[in-house]
Amino acid sequence: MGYLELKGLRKSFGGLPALDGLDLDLSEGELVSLLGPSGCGKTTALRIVAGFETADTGHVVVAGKDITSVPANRRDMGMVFQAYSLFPNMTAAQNIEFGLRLRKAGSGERSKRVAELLELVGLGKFGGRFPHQMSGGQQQRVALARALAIQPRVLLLDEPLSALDAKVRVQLRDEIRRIQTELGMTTLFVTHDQEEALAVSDRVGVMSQGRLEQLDTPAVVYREPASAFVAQFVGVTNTVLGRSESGAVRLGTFKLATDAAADLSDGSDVKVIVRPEDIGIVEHEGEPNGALLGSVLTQSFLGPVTRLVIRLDGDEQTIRVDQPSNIAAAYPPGTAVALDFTASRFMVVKA
Amino acid sequence: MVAPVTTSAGGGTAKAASPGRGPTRGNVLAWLVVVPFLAYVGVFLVYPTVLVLAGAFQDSNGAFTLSNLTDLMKGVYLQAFWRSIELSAITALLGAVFGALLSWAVASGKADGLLRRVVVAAAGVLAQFGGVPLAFAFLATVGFQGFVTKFLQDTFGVNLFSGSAWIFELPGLTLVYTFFQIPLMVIVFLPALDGLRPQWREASESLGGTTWTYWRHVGGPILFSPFLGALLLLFANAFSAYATAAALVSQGSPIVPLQIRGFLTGEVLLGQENLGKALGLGMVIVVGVAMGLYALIQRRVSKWQ
Amino acid sequence: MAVTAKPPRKIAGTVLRVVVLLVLGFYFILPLVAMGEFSTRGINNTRSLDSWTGIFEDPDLVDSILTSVELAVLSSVLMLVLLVPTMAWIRLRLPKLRRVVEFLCLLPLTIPAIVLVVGMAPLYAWVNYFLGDSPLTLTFVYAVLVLPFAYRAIDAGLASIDLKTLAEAARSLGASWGTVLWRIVVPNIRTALIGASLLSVALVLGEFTIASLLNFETLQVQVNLIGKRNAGLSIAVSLACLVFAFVLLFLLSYVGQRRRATVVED
Repeated sequence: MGYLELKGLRKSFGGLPALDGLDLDLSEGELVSLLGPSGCGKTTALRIVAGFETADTGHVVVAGKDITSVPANRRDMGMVFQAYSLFPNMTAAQNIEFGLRLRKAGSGERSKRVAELLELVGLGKFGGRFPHQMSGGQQQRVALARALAIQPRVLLLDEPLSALDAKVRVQLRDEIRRIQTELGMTTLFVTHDQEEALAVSDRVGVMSQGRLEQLDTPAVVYREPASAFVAQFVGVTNTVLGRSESGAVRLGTFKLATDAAADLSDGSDVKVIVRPEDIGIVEHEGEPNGALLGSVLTQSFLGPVTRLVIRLDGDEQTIRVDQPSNIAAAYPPGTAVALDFTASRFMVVKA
Repeated sequence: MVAPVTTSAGGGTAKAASPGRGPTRGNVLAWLVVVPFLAYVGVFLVYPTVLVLAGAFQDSNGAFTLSNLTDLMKGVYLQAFWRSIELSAITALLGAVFGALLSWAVASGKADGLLRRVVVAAAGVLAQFGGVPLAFAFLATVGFQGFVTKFLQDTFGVNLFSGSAWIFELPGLTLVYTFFQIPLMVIVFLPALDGLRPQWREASESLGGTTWTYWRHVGGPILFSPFLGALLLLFANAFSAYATAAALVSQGSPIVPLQIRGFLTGEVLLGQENLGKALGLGMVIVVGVAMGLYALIQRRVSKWQ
Repeated sequence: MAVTAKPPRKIAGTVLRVVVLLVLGFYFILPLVAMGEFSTRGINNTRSLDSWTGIFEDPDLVDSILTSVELAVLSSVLMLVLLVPTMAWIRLRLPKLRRVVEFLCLLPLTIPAIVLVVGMAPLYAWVNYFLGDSPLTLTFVYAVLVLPFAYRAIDAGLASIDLKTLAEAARSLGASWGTVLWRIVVPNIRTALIGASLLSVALVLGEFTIASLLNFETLQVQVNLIGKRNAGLSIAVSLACLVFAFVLLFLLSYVGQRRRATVVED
């Protein structure tokens, strides 16, 4: 049994389902991300936990106590919003103090807590600043401190990094993870950025159309996606169109033997989904030999790896292949190559 | 020798305008474009304004005098100013309070909803060009033969005018002015209410705040400045208003704009031709102070949003 | 995605909201109803539409309506001609002048119309000497009167586009400044221009102070005049004015929205 449990949550807005039976368990001190495209229901789930929305059916349980009908202001949830959630008429310190004041904490205790929290989020000297005098990243740090000030039972993060610059985003997400681990805070983190979710979470829940497609550790979600949707949403993937043919998939002149094709009727359109780093490459000259052939179109240098875009012979499809940069150098644009992903991971689904 | 800063600045602008031309010429040409506007505004706005302001300090022969202004400080004129200020202050307060309530009721609905569209459009009509029609609306309602007057008389035997012909005096003006003051408040105050982000309320709630705590510590303080600003704007608006009062009150001149009407329609004593301009100057000063404060508050407010 | 549904405990707020709307709604609708009632009174407690049909039978009134409509159009055009090139030019080339122009445009808010008309009276002696005493000469004052509202609308329009970049792009493709103005600026701030024009139209149609004190017979002046002898007719016209202005502004709110909708689609 988890510390925070979401049981069978359903919610629709004006007939449109936003959550279609969501179950989720978080153990104490765990950080779970809900990842998905906009409209998948992840924010709705978070807002139901926070108490800002009421689920049509289902329950929210914290530490064994059903809080489904407890109003938001008595739930003790710390929430960090997307942006601009700091009270503009209060300084950073006053913002952090707000929740403590409502809890009737003494002034000595309050200022001690505020100083600690400012220190924790690395803004020791910024207590006297107003929100409009701080950068977006600093504002979100204050928002985090404000949410933590009330020593919440659960920390809720609603895309707290999405309004920030790429560099600040990476910095702050690592810091959130550090603080969360330090405090052992049970945290539900909502984001549409898969890199972010994979980087900071204990477990990632990938959502689509109000349902959880997969819930597992970042490594498993990435290496063993439970569905085509998860594969395509998490990380970079190639989708190659082909046709099933007697227990295999035909891509041009190439026949990809796979068990997955066994269930598909002959001649039906299929998609082969494969990550760029899971494709092998060799130089190829001469006659077709039954391998998947193509030629290098462009190269983009990404640091440790170089991404090659290969145009497949016989049709207009392109496919991205990542190779260590020193190896990729041997395949300048125009090189005829043979691709190999028979041995590696891929997924075959109906088109 | 030419100062290097001037040269480079001039050259830079000119290059952007028309390559190949001399810096001075480009600059002059750039300025030429705005000449028609400046000339027009000079003739039809600045000149008449200056005429009034300067006239306030001249006697009927054009010589400098302060007698117009000293006349302003006594008797009927001073009374008119006090009455105007009283009327404007009261209607500004009424307008601000009820207008803020109405804005709040509208703002919490859907942003593109029909209710909001209707209220905003109606507020625009009444606030900005009600004028004469408002006076007639008022007469149709509580005039001697008005709808409400007759209804009260026929149904309850109540005579609205048992005391006096109040609708043509200050109480009547106060009432009819609320019909454009409340709408103006809606127009001015709605954007401020829209500026309240739902996150603030939710943040307050998740930290344990109630609706009251939110308004007491967050919403209220944030809206205080816009409210004060709107109050000033409403004051200036009522103080400058003429049409409604003019259409309603044909006898006597209880307020400053109607005093000025007297001077323009020929009820002028010899040697007092420029007293009307002094009244104008007085109005500009009062309105100017209110609008100046309003602008200051606006600048402060814009920092938060 | 962040659609908000109200938790049940916000009921108190909803009740208060409804009460406010009902009370103030009644306060503002009552005069309209009264106008409707008053303007349809016949002899001996009967109902009659005489006041309404009378609108078209009074030649002075019809004349004054035409005058006001012409004034509204002329003033809007003059306002656009004065403001659009100037404001665009100032953003592009003379940002130093921006404060000055803004100050001048907003000045009429600080100079009450009743004060302005005191200074206008001598000026109009000259205007009428040179151009005759047609009421259409009011266009000159009205273009000034609508400046603050038009300025704000157009300024908002110009602020919503990246004028400098657009102009630089057009210039680099060989456009003259005239082309930039006509083919780039105007189409891109079309909504703002429509808004500014409609506001001007409504403002001019409702203007009374200046017209009446300069002795020109515009719609509002005529309505006021008729009110002295035929209250029913004046009230009918007043109601028509208010309704017309309302429809104008109501439509305006959709003009703004269509623009927003296209932005979202993009």
